[in-house]
Amino acid sequence: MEHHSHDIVIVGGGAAGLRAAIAAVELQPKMDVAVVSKVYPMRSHTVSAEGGMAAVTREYDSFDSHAYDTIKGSDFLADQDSVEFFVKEAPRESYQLEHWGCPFSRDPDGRISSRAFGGMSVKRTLFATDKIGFHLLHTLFQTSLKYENIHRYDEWFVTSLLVDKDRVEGVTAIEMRTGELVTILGKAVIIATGGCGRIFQFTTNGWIKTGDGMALAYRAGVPLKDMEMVQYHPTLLPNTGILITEAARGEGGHLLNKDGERFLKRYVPGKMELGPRDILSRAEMSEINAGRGFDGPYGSYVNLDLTHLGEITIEDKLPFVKELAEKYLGIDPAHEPIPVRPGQHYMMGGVHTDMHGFTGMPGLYAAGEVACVTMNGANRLGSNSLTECLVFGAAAGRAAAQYAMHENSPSFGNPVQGEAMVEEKRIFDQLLKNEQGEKVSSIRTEMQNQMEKNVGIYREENRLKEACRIVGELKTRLKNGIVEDKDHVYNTELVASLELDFMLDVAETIPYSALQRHESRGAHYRTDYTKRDDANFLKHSMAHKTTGPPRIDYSPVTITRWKPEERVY
Amino acid sequence: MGDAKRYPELRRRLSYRWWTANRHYTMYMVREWTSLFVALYSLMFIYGLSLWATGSRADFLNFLKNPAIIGFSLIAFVFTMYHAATWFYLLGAVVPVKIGRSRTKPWQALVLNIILLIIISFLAIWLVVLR
Amino acid sequence: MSQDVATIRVTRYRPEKDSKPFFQEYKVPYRHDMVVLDALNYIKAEIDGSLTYRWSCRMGVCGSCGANIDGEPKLTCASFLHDFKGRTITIEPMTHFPVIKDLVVDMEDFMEKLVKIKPWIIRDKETPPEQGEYKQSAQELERYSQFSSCINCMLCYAACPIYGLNEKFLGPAATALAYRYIEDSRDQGKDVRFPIVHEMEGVWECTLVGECSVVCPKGVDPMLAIQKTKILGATNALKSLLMPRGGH
Ligand SMILES: Cc1cc2nc3c(=O)[nH]c(=O)nc-3n(C[C@H](O)[C@H](O)[C@H](O)COP(=O)(O)OP(=O)(O)OC[C@H]3O[C@@H](n4cnc5c(N)ncnc54)[C@H](O)[C@@H]3O)c2cc1C
Ligand code: SF4
Ligand code: FES
Repeated sequence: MEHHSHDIVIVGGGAAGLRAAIAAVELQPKMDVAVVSKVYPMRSHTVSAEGGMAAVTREYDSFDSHAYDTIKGSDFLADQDSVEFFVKEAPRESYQLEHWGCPFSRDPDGRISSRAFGGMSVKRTLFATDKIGFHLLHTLFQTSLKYENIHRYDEWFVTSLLVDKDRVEGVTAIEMRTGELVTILGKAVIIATGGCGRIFQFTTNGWIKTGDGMALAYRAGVPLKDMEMVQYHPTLLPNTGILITEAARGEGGHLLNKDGERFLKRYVPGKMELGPRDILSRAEMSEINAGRGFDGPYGSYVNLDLTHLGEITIEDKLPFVKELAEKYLGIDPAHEPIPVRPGQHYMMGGVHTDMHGFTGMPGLYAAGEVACVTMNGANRLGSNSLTECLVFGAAAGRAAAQYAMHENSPSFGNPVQGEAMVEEKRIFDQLLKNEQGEKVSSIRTEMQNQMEKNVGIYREENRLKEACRIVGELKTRLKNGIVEDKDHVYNTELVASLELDFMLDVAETIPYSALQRHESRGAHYRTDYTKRDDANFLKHSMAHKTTGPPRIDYSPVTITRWKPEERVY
Repeated sequence: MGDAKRYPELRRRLSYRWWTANRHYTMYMVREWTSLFVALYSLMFIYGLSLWATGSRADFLNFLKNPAIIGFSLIAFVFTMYHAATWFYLLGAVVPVKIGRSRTKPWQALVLNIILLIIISFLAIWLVVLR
Repeated sequence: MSQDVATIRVTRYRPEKDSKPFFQEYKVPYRHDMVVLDALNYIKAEIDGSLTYRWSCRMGVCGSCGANIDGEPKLTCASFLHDFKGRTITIEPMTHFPVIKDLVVDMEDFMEKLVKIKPWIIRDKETPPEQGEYKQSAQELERYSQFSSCINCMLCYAACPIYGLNEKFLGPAATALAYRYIEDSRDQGKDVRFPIVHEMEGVWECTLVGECSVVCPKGVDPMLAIQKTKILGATNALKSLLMPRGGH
């Protein structure tokens, strides 16, 4: 089997992966870094982020204020030491990005503009019209091209981690273009594969967000933390799930029910449209359930009204919202409200790491949406995520480089070679050879519908149990799934079935973790336990892989200066 | 990156009829061909001037009166106008002028330039011939 | 909602089996709000799992899903089926690029061009980020912002016959990106980039077909960038001719 060798192997070419790569070579210019990505890096889903990235850059703002907003937003489940580290690093990372060329929108004095965002008490979200993710990703990608020591493996799909005696030594990956399984060895591996929104039927996430990295780490023995914490965003286009950014509300947009009423006054009177996402999504569902939503072909919805902002503001500040509404709905947001409903958007939970991205397994790091540091706790504030990718991506890159400097390169011998051969057999001799069975796509659809139905905004014991049972069944069914495309070259169906295999592992941890959290906190809302319970549940859930269903245990939350209090807005 | 076995990629060659694929390509091709007529007309005109320069103004006039030459000049004129028009249009596309929040459209440049062309032509005729 | 049926004709080319490409036809039931990408996804999920194409964001921003639709390079996620009502829709891999499989084209050539123009900020001296941002006025931003919105979908290359005739031509998107950095007030790399964009296969290959800007889904207008680069180059050359020592 062909193999390659590098100092650090980074899985993922989104914001977190690219930032980590640059940090590693800036710390140690001789460091030989590989960036392995299943799509060309600039296609990573970071590209779709719209609203902005949070950092304290103004005189009127302070680190304490950003930290407090984030912690309160998290419903006190965030680790406060991580949050403090995050808010302090955020401005430096933002200015660094600006220095690399990110075309931020500007104030008249030439400084980076900032806008209001949900749950943030002052204007601190830096933006580039409403395409921050696109500009951030292209800036990072283009900047990464300048380092000769960053080697890219574009369109290589990582299928497993190679582990020798609890130390990670590399990955196996399919080179899409040839269809061969290849080993890429590294002293350290950083997982930066983003979220897993495609587990759900209705999501803002792109096709590639299938939780691969979560499953990679989970299978290698690293726990998944706080997986029950799934963010539902309040404003998705009802048919496609395309996101209409929170910036639309940050710029002054209103949410209206069927009676034309700004219904949020009943739920978050202090913040209205700038309330946190978990509360807003539930408020919309309450309105809809009370019959005050509009009926549409894709279920009930409410309206996001921007008409009072005027054409000029919309064109200058929200051009992408305008483009999306015009293209996909045939609506001019300056003249008509946009129909929206809540849907899956982001994973607060993920691979357990410390502040430096370290997972606890020697050599293995994780950063970005895939990781759970945790600074988002039970609910992430909008615009904290991109900054998180930069801050913790850089931290993980540096930590991995430090580690790699003092380690020997793994050699392509056993047990690693043996593991790679087993992986090759699993994929090409079993999965691809199956001649009869169920189509992978139908199993995927069932998983998505199941998660949508039973692990959504409102949760309850029996439905969670049902989800656990069905996802377990689907895992068995996938063993007999068939891939119709038998070719090696660019086999997207094979990749999709490996992704589904990843997704099912990850999906299972969500209802299991949710089932045992007998309280409501942040995005996790139990209709049978509607109150927050700090006495019993101010702790992180940790899902461990076993041969059966996941085993859930708990780890403490780090509290530094902000004592948990009731969360009212 | 890998050196595993590669299957052949499909390489497609541009067909010689590519410019018929859509209207824009065809218009581009016509525009390029019009330059040929402009060049021929210039050659013809240089020849005419050389007749004049060698002294016989009558030869020059007779040359110009030749119906074939008149016909060709007419065709060349039409083509030159086409070339000019597409050029003006492109000019508008390439250097749009910003007025307030909006930018000028290429057709506005086209109209403006044609008006300018007519004015300048008449000025030239007036200066050289009528005065 | 009424259900219509669309006939989709897709290029198939599987290098392990086929020596030549061929068309395969599929019938896809569709609703008014479905895009061509939805039809491809329907085919892959329900009819033929081996149909191969790229996509991810389904919102016109990741740049993966370009194809020739009825002969014109377009994003499949931004082209609506109802615009082709009653016709057979032909979907082919983007023109000019070598095909890896079905609709998937080889984009390495473009990636090399991207690197070639050095798409990063070049400074004589870096200022540490701790000192805050490089100031930039809204007008300075405006000079390049349009050219920074390229999603690398390569539709413009598929539309450019010059690129089809000469693969070495730097081409629309890469030039637009070079121009984006040349015009950025924070960048000081003009002298490095000028020779690259003005070399043999650079901007002067462009003979103003203009189709790149017609097909560009993001309003980048690469043709404009190419012409502006020509103008900049020409004025620079003129200046250095007139003022061999002083002018820049
Ligand atoms: C529509 C939308 C809007 C958003 N808006 C905002 C916003 O305004 N502000 C904000 O802060 N956050 C926002 N977010 C959240 C934020 O964009 C994401 O959390 C963040 O971009 C995640 O970045 P990442 O680097 O972790 O992962 P991604 O950008 O998803 O990158 C993952 C990478 O991993 C690679 N990969 C995955 N699996 C494999 C595998 N098996 N093998 C090889 N490679 C693999 C992929 O190819 C990709 O390169 C938004 C999210 C969405 C979906
Ligand atoms: S310039 Fe336009 S068409 Fe060309 S790659 Fe960029 S976005 Fe696509
Ligand atoms: S799928 Fe991303 S641009 Fe079409």
